[in-house]
Amino acid sequence: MIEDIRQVLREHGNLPVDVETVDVTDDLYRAGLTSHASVNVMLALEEHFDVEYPDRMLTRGAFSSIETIRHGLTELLETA
Amino acid sequence: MNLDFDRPLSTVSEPRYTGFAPIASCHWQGLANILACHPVAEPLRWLGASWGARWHGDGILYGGGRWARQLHTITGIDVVQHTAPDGPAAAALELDLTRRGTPFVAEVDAFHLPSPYQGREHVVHTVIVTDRGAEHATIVDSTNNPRPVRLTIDAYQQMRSSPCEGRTEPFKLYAPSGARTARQPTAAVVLDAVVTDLTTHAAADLAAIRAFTDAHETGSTPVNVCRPAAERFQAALLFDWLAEHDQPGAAGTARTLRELSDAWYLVHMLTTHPASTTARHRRRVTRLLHDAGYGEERLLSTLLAPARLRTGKGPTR
Repeated sequence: MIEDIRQVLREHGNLPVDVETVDVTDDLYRAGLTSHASVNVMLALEEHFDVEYPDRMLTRGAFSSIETIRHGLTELLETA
Repeated sequence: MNLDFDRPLSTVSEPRYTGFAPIASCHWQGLANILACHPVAEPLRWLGASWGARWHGDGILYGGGRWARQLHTITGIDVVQHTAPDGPAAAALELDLTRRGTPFVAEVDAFHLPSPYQGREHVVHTVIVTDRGAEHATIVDSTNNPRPVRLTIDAYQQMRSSPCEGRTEPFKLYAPSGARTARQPTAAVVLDAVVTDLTTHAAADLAAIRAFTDAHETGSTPVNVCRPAAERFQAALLFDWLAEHDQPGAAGTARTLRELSDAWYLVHMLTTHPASTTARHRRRVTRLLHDAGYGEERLLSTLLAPARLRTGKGPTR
């Protein structure tokens, strides 16, 4: 899953750094993820994993690191 | 209290406020840099003394648009907003402003500027124009490149006239008007002006949000809500200042305004995504619009409860 998340970030995150250099717990916003790009990432994750983020998870914190994204996706996939 | 002029007008070229400004708020950043040459302590934050909503029946939810009136109420400073029907009319207006020594904030196309959008997207941005002549114009982009850049008039006119996403009024500009003097309000005076403005307009603002949301729920028009998002962002800056000046509850209001701003910006970003027209995305956006509306109502109820007790007036459904 981590590699899939990295792929989505690579394609939609518009990060100014190589996604491979970002640790799973690094703050993606500090790494250059903009609010606009985070929405693109969220929508791309929904498509990639065939899930829908509930409104309560549409928060800045849910996309603040690869680990928080993984945690959210795991929850969604378990309840799907 | 009236203060005299303190900062030379030439320092507009060295802007006090620089860097990132959220979508639809860059004109306030530019204007605050011009107003920093007036004797006002907090030009950027005092530009956030009002928020609201207007809807004209299309896909755009506007902010309340009362910030200039509020700035006048608080400080006595007049800011005028001009649009022009065409390039020659805009040029005449701009040349006149420069002749009178008045820098102004002009809407331009970010496609033509060093910015994240340069050469990629045609989106509205604003720059400070410190000098507009017949052959050249000097601009300062306080967001992306806060130093004077001298452009040929052709280059300037191209960025000024280029059609772009989000532009609803042609050749828009903002300029201070009148003498460079101002009152220095206390926090209590500013808060009172905010509450008075909201008390007057809250019911209409909430009605506009509800009507817009209902129309979105049943329609298919693409929507744009960046302007209310920006007004709440700017208002949060004002409430930061009020909190620094010991106004009870101001810090909490600033937090709520930031949450509302984030909520509106989220809707905006979702609606500008290519997938935004699908039924699933529209349903989600409708839910988020309802949530934002409820948030607005809660905040206004909290803020205006003391005023309602005093006057018997307040937001009504």
